[in-house]
Amino acid sequence: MVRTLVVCEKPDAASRVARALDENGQPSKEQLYGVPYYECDTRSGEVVVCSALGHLYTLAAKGKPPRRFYPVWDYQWKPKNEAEPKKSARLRSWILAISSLAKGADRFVNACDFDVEGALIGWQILRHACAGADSHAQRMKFSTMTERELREAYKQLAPRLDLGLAEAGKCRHELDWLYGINLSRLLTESVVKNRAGYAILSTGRVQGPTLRFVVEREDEIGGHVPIPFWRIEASIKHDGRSYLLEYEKEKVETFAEADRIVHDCTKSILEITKIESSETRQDPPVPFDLSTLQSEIYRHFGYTPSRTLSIAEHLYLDALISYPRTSSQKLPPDIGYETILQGLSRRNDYSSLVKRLLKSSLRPNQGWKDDPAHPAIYPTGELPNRALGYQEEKIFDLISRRFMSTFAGPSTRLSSRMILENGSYRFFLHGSRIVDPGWTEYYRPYVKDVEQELPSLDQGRKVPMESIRALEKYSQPLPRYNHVSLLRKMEDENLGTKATRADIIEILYRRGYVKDQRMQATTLAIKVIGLLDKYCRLIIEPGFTGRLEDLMDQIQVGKTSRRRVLLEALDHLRPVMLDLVQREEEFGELLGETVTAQRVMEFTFETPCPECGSKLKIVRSRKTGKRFIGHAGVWDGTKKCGFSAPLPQFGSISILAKRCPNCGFQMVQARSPGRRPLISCPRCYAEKNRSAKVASIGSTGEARVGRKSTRSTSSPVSPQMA
Amino acid sequence: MNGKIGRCEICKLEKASDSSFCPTHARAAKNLREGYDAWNRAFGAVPLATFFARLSKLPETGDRVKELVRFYQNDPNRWR
Repeated sequence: MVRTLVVCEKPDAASRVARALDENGQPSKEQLYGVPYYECDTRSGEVVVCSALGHLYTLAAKGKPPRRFYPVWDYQWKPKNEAEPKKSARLRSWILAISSLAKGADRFVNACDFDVEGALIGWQILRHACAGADSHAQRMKFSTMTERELREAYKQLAPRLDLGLAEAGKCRHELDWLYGINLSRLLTESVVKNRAGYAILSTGRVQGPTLRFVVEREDEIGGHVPIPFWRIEASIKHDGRSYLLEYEKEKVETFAEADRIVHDCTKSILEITKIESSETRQDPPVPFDLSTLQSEIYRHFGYTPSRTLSIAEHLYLDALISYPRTSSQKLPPDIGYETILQGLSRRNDYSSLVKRLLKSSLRPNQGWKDDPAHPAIYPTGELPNRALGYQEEKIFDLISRRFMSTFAGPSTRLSSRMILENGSYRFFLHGSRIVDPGWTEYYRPYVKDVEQELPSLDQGRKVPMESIRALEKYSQPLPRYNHVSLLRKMEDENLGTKATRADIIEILYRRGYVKDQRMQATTLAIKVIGLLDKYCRLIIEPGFTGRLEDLMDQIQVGKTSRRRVLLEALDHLRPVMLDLVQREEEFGELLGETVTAQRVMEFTFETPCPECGSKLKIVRSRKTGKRFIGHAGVWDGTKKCGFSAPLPQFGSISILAKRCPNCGFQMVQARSPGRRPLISCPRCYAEKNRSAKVASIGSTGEARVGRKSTRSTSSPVSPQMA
Repeated sequence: MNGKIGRCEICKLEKASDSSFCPTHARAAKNLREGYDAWNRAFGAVPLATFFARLSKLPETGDRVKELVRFYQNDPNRWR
């Protein structure tokens, strides 16, 4: 009897694969060293399905150099539990369990996600934990976790592992490690040796050029000189309704010209000289690739790209959508358009839409982007067998409606333009009407159907100008990047991968390089990029990193080797690092002061204390360790004011420049990885809680008198109590 | 190579080779001069003091430009 070991990337995936492969859909769940695995009965023999927990192996310096030593050039792949004994200790039992299961196996299958990371995770497990089974292991390729596709994928196993992908993955990790470790240790050490305290400063192959975009934008905004221009605002009245007119020039560049237009057209009579109309057709949207999904979600719901990816992965593991880490905007026919639509029609809100779609032949509007590994993101047609969370439901609905709308016809709109003239001055009145909603019916509420009717006036009619004025305006600086625009910029410049870009942006926040939703580069970021730009410009050049990305793509298809790419990168990095080591002191002097200043600034509010007018800070209770807003120096008696306000106790806290519209206090933002940032006003929150408490005391009739009841009692611990 | 490094008159960072400011303030100074020309074209003629006063109040004005405006307001001769 043949015994097959199937290696999956995550425990949830292993459970799905096992259920699909077992003859009765009920594999037996076992445990070895506390690690779950599944035994399945199949016609071809016994199949054991086990899983990793993402990467089980990682890079570490060879030998045992001191923890903060740099530059480091010699490295090796090690079990994660050995490289990071504190953080990843439990992975020891996972490797042991897989090794034990491998001993009794005759056949090996890598069923990790079909991408660079999945190829690498599977290859390393098979190579190191399964005694070199990578040489004869097979590959299971699938894009959805549905039982049908998993069974099909198991029947059609690729005879070999995708070594090109695994090599490209290895190369990416090695390059990132070499750049990250050496440059980040240089920055961190220079500050530590300057006695500015310990602060993790990092940069890397992708992080450096990404941060540079933000800093360059900050530089442009800082150097912006607003240039005046004038906008003509005019209106006519017909049948008791006002219609806003548009002057032929969007911007009038001089005050004199604007003044003349207003003077000549005030109380003038406009003649309708022409009415033009034309039909415009808008094709349906293309299917989602990961970055368009992330930007659409951000636009409609405000979820960060990393949050979107994490939710989409949950939906994928629940077999509700296809693999989300894809660059493709194409839906191949073999995914079974009709079956998926029929599956979706089981939901009440989709059934009538699907019925209409199925009346004609199904042909999606394909996008131009392609991915050899996976199709675009689509719903599998399966319905959730658990109640989806609020955010999961939103994302699932958007993906489903997008999928349906790609099969619908174009929408048609009749656009009209009325031209009104007064001598040499021309004004326009625009109108539009939907003739055929087409795909927009399937994509509601994510599309807006704005209609604007023209007044019932014929050509040659004369209408009096109701009002006209010139508004003084100023040119605006370029907008700061947000999560999505920066992600798109990274994609355009070929920086990072679809899987890593969102995380890199999160790191910029964690390191204190950027703040606020609209990313503002901090002084620290400007200093770091300034130094790197001066001494190792190549490292933060997007072009250089982009070239390395291209080379890694070439490894995947066998056009170049990992060794050659590493040698080329090291040729650049090694001399730069050796030079930078000599400049550690200079780096320390320039960065140390900024790190200290930023640390103070991060914890200090600009808004003064409403009771005593002095500076407020984020402080921690000595007793409970909880953080809140208060005064430093309360404990040693140098400060007598007892004002305090509560803070969220999760995630990292940052003080925003934005003020509360109600009370004017500075807002705070709590960020946790993969979660939507929480922005709130601590003072209003305290007030609200206090009022609620007073009301509840009133309703229960309890009488509690004392200092605590008049304070912001939701604060974890006030300084007086501590 | 141990020559004295010139410092930006505003932020004291190393100055650009062809300016008395650092590269960031030098770029802002260039924009400021071009901006003054644009303002003169737009309004006819604008006294320099009015230009500086209005610029420093506009929310669209960049922070580096505001620093330069303060610098020139304190020492108008440096504008020439």
